[in-house]
Amino acid sequence: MKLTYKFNNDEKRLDIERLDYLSPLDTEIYVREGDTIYVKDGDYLYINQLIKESTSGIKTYATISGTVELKDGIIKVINDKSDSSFVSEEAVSKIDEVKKEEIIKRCESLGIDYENKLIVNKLKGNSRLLIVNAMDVEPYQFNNNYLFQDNVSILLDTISLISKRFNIDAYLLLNKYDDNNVNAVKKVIRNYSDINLKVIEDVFPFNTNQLVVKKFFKEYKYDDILFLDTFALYKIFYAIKNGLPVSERYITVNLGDPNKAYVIKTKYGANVGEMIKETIKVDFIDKDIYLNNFMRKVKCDNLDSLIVTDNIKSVFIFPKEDILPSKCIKCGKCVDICPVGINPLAKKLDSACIRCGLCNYVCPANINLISKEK
Amino acid sequence: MEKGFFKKNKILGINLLYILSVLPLIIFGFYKNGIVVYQHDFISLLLALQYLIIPIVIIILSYVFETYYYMGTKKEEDTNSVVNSIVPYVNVLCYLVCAPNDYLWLTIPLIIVLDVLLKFIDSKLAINQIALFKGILFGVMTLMNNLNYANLYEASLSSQVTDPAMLFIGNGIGAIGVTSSLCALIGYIILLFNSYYKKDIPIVAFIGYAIVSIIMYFVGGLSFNDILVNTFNSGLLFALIYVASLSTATPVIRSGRIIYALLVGVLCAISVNILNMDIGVYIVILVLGLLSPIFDKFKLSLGE
Repeated sequence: MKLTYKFNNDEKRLDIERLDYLSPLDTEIYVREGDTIYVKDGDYLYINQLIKESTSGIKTYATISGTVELKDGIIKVINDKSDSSFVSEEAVSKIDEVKKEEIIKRCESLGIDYENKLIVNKLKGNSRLLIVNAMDVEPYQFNNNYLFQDNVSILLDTISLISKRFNIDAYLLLNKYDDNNVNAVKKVIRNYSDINLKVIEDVFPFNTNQLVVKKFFKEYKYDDILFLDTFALYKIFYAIKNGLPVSERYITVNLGDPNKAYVIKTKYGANVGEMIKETIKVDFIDKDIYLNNFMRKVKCDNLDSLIVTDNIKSVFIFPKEDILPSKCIKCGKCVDICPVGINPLAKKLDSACIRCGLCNYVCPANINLISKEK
Repeated sequence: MEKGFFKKNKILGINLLYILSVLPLIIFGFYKNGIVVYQHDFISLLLALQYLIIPIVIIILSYVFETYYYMGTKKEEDTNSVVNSIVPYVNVLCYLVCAPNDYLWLTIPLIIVLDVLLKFIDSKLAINQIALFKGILFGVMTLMNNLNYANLYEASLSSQVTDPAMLFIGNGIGAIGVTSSLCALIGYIILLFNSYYKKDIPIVAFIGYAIVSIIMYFVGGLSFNDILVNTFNSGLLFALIYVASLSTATPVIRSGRIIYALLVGVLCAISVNILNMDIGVYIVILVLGLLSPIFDKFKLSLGE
């Protein structure tokens, strides 16, 4: 599958291969202090069965069926490959019949979150605008793109439903270069009078939520906006329609080739290292591994201890970098490129820094400028 | 790794472009002060060749010293700092502003010793080492040459060139590499290929210089010819293109850069056209270069 993508003023045509890793050997969940655990060692779990709840109310469910192993603060579910699933009695045939209170109730009971914050707080609050950012915020990442492509009509239905039930304006942001999604939405958008389509140039990092508001929605305060990405919207849809959590997630993997990427559909809790070894058949010896945004230069030492969560969006496995940082030549490129207009060379990093990593990317001296403390 | 993600050693490429950009000036300096003077039997062939040999020796010695400093003194295991050092380029610039006279071989130890001294006090005093280095060297060279920049052939002539076109090509009296504005412009075109070169500084500075010069034309009674002669005779373009825009000694914030460049242009115009002081261009750049951390504090809304 080919996709046009623009990065750093460079328009590319990417070859993207889609892969599935839906039956991992096991899934793991890390238990943190204060978490309420609903399972015990030896229990048999069905898919969608509640495993734990965090102090902030975010819930974690089983994404595979199998036996529980509790060890060293990790809840492990050993896959029995039967895909036995817990069925909710709350499923509805049509989502447009669901009332506002029911939407809130379902999102609350499933603990649906976006960027580690419960969505229900925003739904219950006084949000004045709904913005669904269907673009992938980080560079060279195509998860939102593909999830949207696979579920165009149901996601549009969900946006429309939230807009109607909560009486707020809704905007859908699409990437100008994402021909498939733009064309698919344009064909049907006239059926959704309450959705405003905004096709924008996806130039990193101007599609981050903060910068989108600054650029296109100046009249709104950031806190008054209910922001969702495709995944959060899909979780809401699934909660309304089936009364169940979503167990699958897309992750983009890049092996250092800007013209080729892999989008892997997998289960929450699956081991990232195993997933990549099984699907793409690569090893990680003598490689530099970066998560989500390679420009931040935050290296991941061990992929084998990493599990799929909402925070893992992409994995970049690059050949080991043999260029060490050298002395700053004060070329000022980092200052020129900074999207929020701060000076990354300052001794202490400005709190306005959005950690996009563009300064790192342009730095000829290979200095990690955002590693300084804010 | 492929082009697009992190690129290979970028600074090496940047430095190669810097060195490439001064080649026209070195070659012209060799022609004007070596070949032409040799052809008129004022110097031997060996002395003529020194204008080609000395810059090469300076580059090699600079790298040797950088290797000693980073790998010997600072115990760095990687050669990156050496390969990426901008010092050889700066040292060649220092050579180019020397006068073409008997003291020329002294420039090599002088450049290296000064570089060593400043390198060691740089980290302790947190000063702008390159800016100070340039300034001290220019000052010392000026004193040594007693403001006499004519080579032996030029000194024998009864009159100086005053045709602006000839001065633009480089036939005026001046330091080894600064007389040819044409070569400096060729160097600027080469530097435009270096995306890390602060290409806005020479342009803004020249605009500032031009505005003040035009005011002098209307108010100060200077003729257009005088202004052109002063401009090309002072090595202004060399100073703006190579010295004023040197990345390590200039502000990094765009608005700071623009204010710095404008001030450079304005003060250079006063120095060249009113005070008739060519060395003033370097004094202006030195002082403003040392003040570059202050310019970095300006955050005016100039497109930022």
